[in-house]
Amino acid sequence: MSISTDTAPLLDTSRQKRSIGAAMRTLGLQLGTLIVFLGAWQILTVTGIIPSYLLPTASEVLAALSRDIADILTGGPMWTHFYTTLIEIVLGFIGSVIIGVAVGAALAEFKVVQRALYPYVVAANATPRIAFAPLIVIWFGFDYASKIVMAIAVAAFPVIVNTMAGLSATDRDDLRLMRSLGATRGQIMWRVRLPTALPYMFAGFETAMLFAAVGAVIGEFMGGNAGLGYVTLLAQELFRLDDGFSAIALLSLQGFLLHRLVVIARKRFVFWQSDDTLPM
Amino acid sequence: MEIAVEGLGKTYSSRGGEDVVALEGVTTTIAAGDFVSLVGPSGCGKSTLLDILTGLTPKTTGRILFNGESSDEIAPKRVGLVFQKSVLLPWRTALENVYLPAEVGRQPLAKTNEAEYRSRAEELLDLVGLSGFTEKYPWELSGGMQQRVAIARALLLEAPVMCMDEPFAALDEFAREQMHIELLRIWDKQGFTAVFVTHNIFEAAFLSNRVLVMTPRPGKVVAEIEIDLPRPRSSDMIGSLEFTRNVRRVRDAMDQHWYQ
Repeated sequence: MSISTDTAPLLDTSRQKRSIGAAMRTLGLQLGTLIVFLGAWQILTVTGIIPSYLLPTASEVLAALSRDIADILTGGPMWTHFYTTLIEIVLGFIGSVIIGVAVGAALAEFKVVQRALYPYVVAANATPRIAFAPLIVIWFGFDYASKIVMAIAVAAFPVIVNTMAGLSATDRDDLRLMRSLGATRGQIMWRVRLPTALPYMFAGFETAMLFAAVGAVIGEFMGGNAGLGYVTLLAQELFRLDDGFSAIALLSLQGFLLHRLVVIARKRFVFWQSDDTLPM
Repeated sequence: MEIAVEGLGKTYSSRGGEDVVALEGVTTTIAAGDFVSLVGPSGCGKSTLLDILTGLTPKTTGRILFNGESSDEIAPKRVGLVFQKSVLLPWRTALENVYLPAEVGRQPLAKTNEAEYRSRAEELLDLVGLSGFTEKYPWELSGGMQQRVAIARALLLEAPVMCMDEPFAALDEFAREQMHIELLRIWDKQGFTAVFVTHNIFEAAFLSNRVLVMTPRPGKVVAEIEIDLPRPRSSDMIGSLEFTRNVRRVRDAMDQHWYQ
């Protein structure tokens, strides 16, 4: 056997060890940022530079937050709000993925559909769908349905647009290769076009997860009596700013974790593209 | 497999109504097991000729006979294809990429003979010097290694003809020289008919039995140069008087027809 002189880029363990150390330093830096932020907040509020009727102190918010988290963990009323919003976001996300992939694929696959619909998709995307919120409440009521529909209305578009772009992004040489092998349309779809589209689709899914949270909270603002969005609205009406901030922090945590799930899924399914440039 | 090209022409009709003649009156015969290179500047139609041979582009005039049979009856799998880019699918390992041709087509060969083609894919990776890299993904391989995988893939279905479209143009000088020796070794062992497109005269002279010189507007074959270097070729020959003389002959043919 001939000996090859060209070598592949190989991973060495010392680099991995260094990267663990780097990860710890990054984590320390990120915790430090949080502490500085909360410290500054505390100083500004305790000293009265920012009056307490505008902004509660950081410690008050943290107290409310730990009370709410304890309530969630023991299955108290906050738990109901927490999981109500969670279900709205997750179902809104799933609905967005199903509708978005179906519509995006139809637009990419059938040129007639694309010619007939594309301008309207762009126009609908440019419309602030939040404006539909009052109508959606009339159509779907004050229950879960209106929140999920609102979430889908906001979150389906990034999936549509990215699925369409991804399925249209197939490399010309990949197609030449497949055609030279006599591949059928279905084989080209499953073996080349869909895998090529996956990174685009997951980018859409990530955005959709965040948008679904926005849609769900707007839905809760419009009516109903459950969910973290409803809690912030109630806190505002009762002038309990610490409770409001706590609910917002919980929404933020929820969105962060759900988004992480999508990122983890992407890394698993789109393993051939890495994005190790972001410190997370 | 012998390839006979007779009066082959290709005309692209552009939207403006002006037809572009990409290829005109190409006639040549490539013997079974021969190694022939097509050289010429950009736009001389060498890639178009290759695309017609592989069935990717329909011809306008003339005909191609593979062992006397008209090309229209030749299944696409009779010709192996290697591009300038390796065109490996990044979500597939080296082995899975080599195995791909067996999975596709109206009647995928892997359906009946999966184990046979798997082991054949492994043998081919061994043949191109990548036996330890079967489970590596393309992005874990160097450019030269990726091109070796592409060659192994083109060999999977034992196509009697191998068409290569500037396969080493993207490699660095050292990797390219090494790939030349490798390719000749594989060609010698497998015995396919090789059609090699390049704009590199040295490469063409080093690899081929015969070099077809092409010129653009319209693309046609203006000269056929027999390379009289002995086989097996070795890197020692590069720089030898004999080699230089052969390169000179290709050059002269090109200059004579191109600058007229």
